[in-house]
Amino acid sequence: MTAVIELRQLEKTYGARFGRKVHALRGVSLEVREGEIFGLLGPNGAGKTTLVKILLGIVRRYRGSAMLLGYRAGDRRGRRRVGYLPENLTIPGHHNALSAMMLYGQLSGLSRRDVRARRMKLLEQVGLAERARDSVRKYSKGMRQRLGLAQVLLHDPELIFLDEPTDGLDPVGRAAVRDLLKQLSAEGRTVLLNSHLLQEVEMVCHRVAILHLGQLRRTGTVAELSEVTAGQLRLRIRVKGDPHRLRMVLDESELPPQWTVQEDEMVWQGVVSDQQSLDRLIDRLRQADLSILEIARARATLEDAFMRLVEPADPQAS
Amino acid sequence: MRPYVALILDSFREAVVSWTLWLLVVPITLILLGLAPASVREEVATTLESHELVSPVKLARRIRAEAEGTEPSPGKRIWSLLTSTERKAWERIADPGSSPGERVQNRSRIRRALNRLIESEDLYDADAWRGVLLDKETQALVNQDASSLDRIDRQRRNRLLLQAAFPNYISKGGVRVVIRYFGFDVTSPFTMPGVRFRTFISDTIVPAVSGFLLGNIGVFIAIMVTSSITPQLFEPGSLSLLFSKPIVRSVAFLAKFLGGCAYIFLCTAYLNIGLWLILGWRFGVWNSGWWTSIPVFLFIFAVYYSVSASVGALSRNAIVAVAAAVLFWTAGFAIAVTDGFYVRLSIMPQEISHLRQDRGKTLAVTKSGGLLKWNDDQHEWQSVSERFGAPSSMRVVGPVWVETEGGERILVARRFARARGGMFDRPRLEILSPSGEAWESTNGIRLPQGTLDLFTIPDGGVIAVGIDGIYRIHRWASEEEDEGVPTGFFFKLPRFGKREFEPIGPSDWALRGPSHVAIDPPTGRLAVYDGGEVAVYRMSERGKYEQVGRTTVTSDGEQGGAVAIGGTTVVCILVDGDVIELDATTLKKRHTYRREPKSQPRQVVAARDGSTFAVLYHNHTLYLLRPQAKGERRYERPSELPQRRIDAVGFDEQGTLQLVHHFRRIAWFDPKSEKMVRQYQPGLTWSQWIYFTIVRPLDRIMPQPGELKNTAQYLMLKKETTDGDFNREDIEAPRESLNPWEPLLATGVFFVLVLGLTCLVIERKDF
Repeated sequence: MTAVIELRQLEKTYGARFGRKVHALRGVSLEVREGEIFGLLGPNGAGKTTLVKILLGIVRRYRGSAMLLGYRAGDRRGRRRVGYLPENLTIPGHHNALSAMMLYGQLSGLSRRDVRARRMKLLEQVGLAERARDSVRKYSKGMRQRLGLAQVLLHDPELIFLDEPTDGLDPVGRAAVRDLLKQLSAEGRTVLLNSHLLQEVEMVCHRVAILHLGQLRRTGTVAELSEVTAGQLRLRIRVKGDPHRLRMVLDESELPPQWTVQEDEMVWQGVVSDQQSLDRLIDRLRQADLSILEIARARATLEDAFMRLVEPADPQAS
Repeated sequence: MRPYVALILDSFREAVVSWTLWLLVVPITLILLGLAPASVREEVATTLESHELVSPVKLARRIRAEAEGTEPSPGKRIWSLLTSTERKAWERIADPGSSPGERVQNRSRIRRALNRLIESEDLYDADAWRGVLLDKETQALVNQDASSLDRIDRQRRNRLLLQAAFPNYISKGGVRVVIRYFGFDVTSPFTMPGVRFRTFISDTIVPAVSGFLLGNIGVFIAIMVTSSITPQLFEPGSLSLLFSKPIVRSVAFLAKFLGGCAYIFLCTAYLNIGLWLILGWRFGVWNSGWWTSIPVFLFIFAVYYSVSASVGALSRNAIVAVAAAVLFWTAGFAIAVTDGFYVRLSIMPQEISHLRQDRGKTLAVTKSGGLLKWNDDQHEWQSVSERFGAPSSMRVVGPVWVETEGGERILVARRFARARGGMFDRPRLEILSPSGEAWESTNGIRLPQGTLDLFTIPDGGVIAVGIDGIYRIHRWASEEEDEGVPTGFFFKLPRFGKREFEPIGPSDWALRGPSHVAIDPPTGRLAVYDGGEVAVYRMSERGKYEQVGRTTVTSDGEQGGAVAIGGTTVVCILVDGDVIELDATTLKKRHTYRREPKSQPRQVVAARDGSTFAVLYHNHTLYLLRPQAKGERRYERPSELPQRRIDAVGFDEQGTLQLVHHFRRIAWFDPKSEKMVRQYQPGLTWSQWIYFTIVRPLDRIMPQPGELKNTAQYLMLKKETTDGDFNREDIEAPRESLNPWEPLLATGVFFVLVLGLTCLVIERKDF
């Protein structure tokens, strides 16, 4: 598969010339292949939006290289083939859906005739056709987001950047977006999805990259990333007995001493590193004269991997 | 181009959809709707206004004299129609021994009597008016039966008959104007002496109103309503999407900027075209300059908007954008006001406006009415009589240099530029005598009524030329008892009867104005411009002035003019721009020149031998007229003259041209060899130094879009100076230089710089 996005040791430092430096990206290298839905994950301030803005030429890179559809990041030839839905999209209040589509279509290089031919179909697709002539001032956040999605697709782009596309959407809308992403992928388009919603990413993305404090922590499929937690056991243990003894056992096992109480039972949830640790925990519970009512093992998720990858503090953080 | 056109159109859509459009369109529409019902009705002059009687005393004498004749004449006819009471009043006026108080009282009686005759059906008598030249309009009216004429036509006929019979004493009278609204008269008929109403509307009212409406109010409102356009575009949620599109950021910014300008352009065009149509349709003023001024007003807006848009783009805040534009406007205004005050109160009043050579001495008059003498030893101007403050509406009478038993004296007086004679138009003479390094001023006599100028004549005497006559001054020192006759009020009536001066002019001398007089120093001949006519007078052997000839140089006698006489030539300059060369003996017109279509001549002076005349224009350009030369050389701009901004000119006794330029610098230029003889740059006071080295350069560097209103006026009027119609009768009245292109250049550089830097920042900045 051809790489539509190629990053090599990409660095971005804000305020590099004026003393107070903020390292937004530190040597990020990754590839996004044609036709895949690529998830970009990371907590706030991880550098996800900066990375997208560099690719679109809105922000300049500091070091390294960034290529988009075979062109240097920011090149207009590359941007012509890209659709972008920014986070917190603002559409000027003097527009309705039709005029906004006309403006954004023309900005993307389409003729008025082409825009007229395509816009209604897309608005129908995102569920805005009936309100197409209403002022965007009257739109809810979700409706504006749908309009943003419609303009993304207007000029038939090869590569689509979606920054929090389901933000503000209701569950039905989110499901529609997921369907849309799958449809786009099926059409051979590449999607770079930038989202906080791990479940969503897990459901639609072929590959995922996790950024933290400007560093790329891991890239791979959801399954590959889940292996980060391989060997670890996520447990739910239901016991009955003296709470003080339970605290003692957890302290000895170096596990978080927090549990919930359900009538006279105590429920502890957490992760133990391996089977031997679990065996030792059971022995200690028994020795402490606590009755084990239930031990349940949960499946490792992307969230576990994400938490694991972003939890350690970065010693180099500025 | 498609994306950028879309951005421009988007600005329109934004304006149309939002309230900003209505904020401009509604007031404009209201202004146009408010003006549309206004119109004017013009009436021809019929009855006599007081100012239209030029010299009632002389008129009374003339009619009285004609009444005593045996042949039928207009005067005899008028006299026969007067009542006995009126005749008595007229006789008292005509009596040379009558008091000034009686004359004032009877002046209005004469007017009332003449207005009564104007109503009469019997005034015209063919025999009485047989020797009087009647124009076509009068001829047509007298050919009709008086009883068949309506009242207005009858009044008009009689008024024209009186004018034709006594042209020197009754002025033609302008058109009377009535302002109307919705077809109703809202004013009584009024005249504007010396003013052509339509020209006044076109050249004065329209530029002033448009400058205020568009240049100030319009620009301010436009800035307010457009200030949000750019910051809105640069809002984070909107900007990222815009810049992700395949466009060039700086061009997108410029397109958005252009969109705001285009929207304002439409509003300006709507207002201008609306005003143009209303003025044309309702007032008959079709001034195509309106069209050409639209881009200038747009540019004024664009300059302020460039500041607002740039700050808005970088700050992404509409309030900060407006504040920046207002701050910029205020800074420009403050500098312009500082410069303006400095110029008006300190620099301009001290600028030299006239030069006069008398007995080998060079005297200069400043714009505030002060008097300077050139000290050729120290190469400095020496102050003789100081005047401070804004340029005065007073005109300097004289100065003349006299030598008495007590030593050298300078005689000078000052009178209101718009004074039209009358008993209070008697300028007080100021006598200046040297006292060590300084000059001492003492009060002299009151000069004859309506004195225009003072001259020394070849026999060493001093004459005063006024609207009533030419007088030889016998004594100029004032005696205490001559202060006047107490009236019990705050003023004193002038005392008459003392022979301080005696009339030496022709008995029928009466200047109806506007007037200007010049002397030929070697011969004492006088050249006079008066109400569109030029006359030459020479002194007879009996010491009296007599007319050599008279000719009409313009049919528009209400415009001001000036003359110079030398050798065999008289040169007359007119406010309308004509420079007319006449033969001094026959008064035949030789040539008419018009070289500076964008400015008007201000001064004309003659070399003593009449070989060269210098004509100075209000735009500080100098032309030389050489009556002996052929072709283009006859009237040309001296190519060798390095000075381009000349303030005053004069000839010394050797025929060398003296030029005052660049404030108070003086140069001697030989017009024959066209070589500079010598020149000096007198020192400046500290205040003048601060102005020329700090204030003025700062004013030139700082962009002041407000000054572009001058450019718009220039495009409207096609003149480089403001030509207020109120000044038409005064050729010397300052006509402010519009300086149309200088602000355009400075502001244009600033404009390009602001937009250029903003584009650079937008291109380089991380958003």
